[in-house]
Formats: sequence, structure tokens, C-alpha cells
Amino acid sequence: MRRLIDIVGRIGFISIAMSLAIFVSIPLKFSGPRGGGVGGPLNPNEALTFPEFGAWRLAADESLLVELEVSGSEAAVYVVNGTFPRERPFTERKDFEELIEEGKIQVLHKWNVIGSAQLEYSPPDTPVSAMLFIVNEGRIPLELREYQLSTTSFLLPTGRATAVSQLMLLAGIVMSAPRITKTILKMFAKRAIDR
Amino acid sequence: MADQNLPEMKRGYSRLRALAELLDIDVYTYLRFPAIEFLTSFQLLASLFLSSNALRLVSIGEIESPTSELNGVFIFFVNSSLGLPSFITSMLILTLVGFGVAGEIEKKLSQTILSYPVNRADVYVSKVLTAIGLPVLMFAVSELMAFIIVRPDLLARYAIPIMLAALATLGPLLMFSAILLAVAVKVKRAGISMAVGIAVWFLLAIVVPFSTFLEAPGGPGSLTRMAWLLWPIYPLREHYIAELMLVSFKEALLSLAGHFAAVIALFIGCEKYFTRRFEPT
Repeated sequence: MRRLIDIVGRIGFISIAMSLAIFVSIPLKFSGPRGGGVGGPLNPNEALTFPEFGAWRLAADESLLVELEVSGSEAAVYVVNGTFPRERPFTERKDFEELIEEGKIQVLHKWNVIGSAQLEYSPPDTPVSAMLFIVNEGRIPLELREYQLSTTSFLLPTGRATAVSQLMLLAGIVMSAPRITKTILKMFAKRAIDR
Repeated sequence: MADQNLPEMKRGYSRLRALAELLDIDVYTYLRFPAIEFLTSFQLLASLFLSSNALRLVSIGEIESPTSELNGVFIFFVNSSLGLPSFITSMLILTLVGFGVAGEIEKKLSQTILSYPVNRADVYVSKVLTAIGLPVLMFAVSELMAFIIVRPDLLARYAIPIMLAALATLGPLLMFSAILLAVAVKVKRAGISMAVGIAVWFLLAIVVPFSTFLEAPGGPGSLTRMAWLLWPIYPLREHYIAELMLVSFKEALLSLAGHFAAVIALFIGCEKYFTRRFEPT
């Protein structure tokens, strides 16, 4: 019994230590440039003709900074939210527009850009899983002279990490309680004997 | 009278209780109170950082597709296998086996333990569980926790690749531990065991890149395929991620099975030596 209390108590301590590690990581954020993208990665100084677009998936808690400079025609930058049907992979802008018309995706924000611009987007309180699109609005081929996409996001999905951390802390406290009680009782008993 | 008492004495000795007693002593000696707790937190933190980068950013950098998601999974496992979580675990095992087990033999403490009425195999199992099993288990738990927090959906969607990749990540750690344990038991010196352990660790780390470098133009040849037996995560990654599918599933699975057969053989060989030939003097 003594050994069982010790072993379970030790597992409890490990559980508490792990929950603290998760808890410490929850507020951590990192920011940096984002590459990749569908229809891309878009290369600066390359013409972004009508059906082409660049798309990036953003996490629910990710804030966004887009710096871009265009020439030729007007660019539209969209932040959209919704479920993209897996059975309908889209490769052209018209697929994207169809999804908006059908209401499968909603436009959260839209900017029209001529020349250079710095766009910032922070997600609303309710979690969204957004996507960013840069599309050509005009008829003349759009030249994306420069673009830099950087995002700031939490290291971990905050909601889930908090839940897991709290659950592990609770489990750890429950498991280590008999061992802590035993140690405290032993300490008092020792003092009583010493007296 | 003595004959009548013998069966009672036999009944009184429980192998499980003896093993539990040995485990208690070993855990208390090797892993004093905050040691394993601190190291587990560091392992988990390292796994969380890696998983956040690999599982989250890679998959959301582009529209999610099975290839990009699996790519993220394998980036996470390869980085875990060669990166900080594995390094922390290896160093812990190196300390526990090099200083703990070999140090005990060097200081003649194992003479005392082996003079107790306990089975030598139990002593061996207790050492393996404490010095190797616990750190590797903590490593596995950290990886699992990282998945549960960052992308739990992937666990259900790609259960088989993830399970195989996790095994392939744990395998090299177990192989390194088995070699280190064999050296510690044979040379009986803490310093030499540590030095050999570090050398083995570096050799294992460079074997695949070196063989790939030697055979670079023609793709993976026989040398690389032999090196894959030491790091089965590579053939698995090649099978699941490489666009040309140079490695079949059967071959990747055979590499993993061969690797674990070697690990089991090493542990069994070490156990046989410890129980039959080992002299704690």
C-alpha cells in the first residue's frame, strides 16, 4: 500500500509538472514571415493575371500583417472564413467566388489596394479559421511588385491547451494527495515523537 | 522441520514484490524527487514547440491536403527524433546508465544488491525500467500530449502512419540505450561508458546523412538501406512523403521490424550476460 501511494503520488507530481509546462506555453506567441500558399508562393515582380490568386490558411488566433505593393491594376485582399468542401478543390478564382455566392464561405474583411499598402487584421473574439486571398480586380494584368506576409499567433491553440492543462493539474492533485497527506502526517508524527 | 518450513519460505518470496522493492530503490536512487518532473516538463515543452511548428504551420501554410498534413507529421517526428526532445532523453539515459548503472558497478554497490535474495533477472529488469524505460516512456507521453493539444484530429485520421512513426522515433533511443547498457555492464566503468555512449550517439546521428551523401546521385542504395535499419523513420518518411514512392510500405515496415528485432536481441543478449556471466567485482 505504501509503495502504491508513492508510485501514484509520483505519477501525480509528473502530471502537475506537465500541466505547468503547458500552462507556461499558453501565453507564448511567435511571429514571423509566412511562405507557402496555394496558387503560389507568389513571387514578387511576377504578373498576377486574372485567374491566379494567392491563398493562405490562417489559424483561429492568428493576427496578420500584409505589406504589398502592386502596379498595373487594382488588387483585392480578402480574409474569408468558412468550410472549404474537400470534394471541390478550387484552382481558379471563379471557384472561390462561387463559394462566396453559395454562402459556404463568408468575407470577414476586404481591402482594395492600389500602389503600396500595409494591411493588418486581428481575428474577432470568436474563433475563426480564416483564409487570405490576394486577387486581381482589374482587367490589366496585376503586377505584385512586393509582398510580405507575416503572422503573429499563439504557440498552442489556447482553448484546448488550457483545458488539457487544467485536467492534468486536477488529476495530478488527486493522485498526489495521499502521498502529500502521508508526508505531512509523518512530519507531525515525527515532531510529536521528538517532543 | 526444515523441510516443512521450505514451502512456506517459498510462498513468502514474491517475485513481483521483490521487483517492486528493487524498482523503489532504483527510482529513489536514480531519479530523486524533482529530477524526472523537471525533465518531463522540458521534454514536453520541446515537443510542444516542435509540434506547433510542424503540425500547425506546415499544414496551415497551404490548404490542408493529406500530403501536406502527413508532411507535417513526419517533419515533427524526424525533428523529435533528431532534435531537442530526443537529445534530452538521450542525455538522461546516458547519465542514468553511464553514471547510475556503471557507477554502481564501479563503486561495488551492485555486489551488495546482488547479495540480496533476489533474482538477477529482476535486478536487470529493474535497472532497464528505471534508467531506460521511464525516460523513453516520458518521451512518448510528451509526443502524445503534443499531438493531443496541437492537432488531435490527425491522430484519428492518420492513426497507422503516426503509430509507426512514433515507434520509429522511439526505436533509435532504445537501440542507443541497449548499446550503452551492454558497454556499461561489460566495462564496469562510469567514465568509459559515458565516453563510449557519447561516441555511439554521434555515430548513430551521422550514419544516415553520411550514407546518403556517399550515394547521393543514384538515390537510396544498399548502404543507405542498411543505415535505415538504424533509423526506421527515414524509410517511413520516404514511403509516405516522397512523391516518387521509392520505398514500398513493405520495405518501410521491414526496416522497422528489423530495427526492433536488433533492439530486442541487444536487450536479451545483455540480460543473458548479466544473469549468467556478469561478475560484480
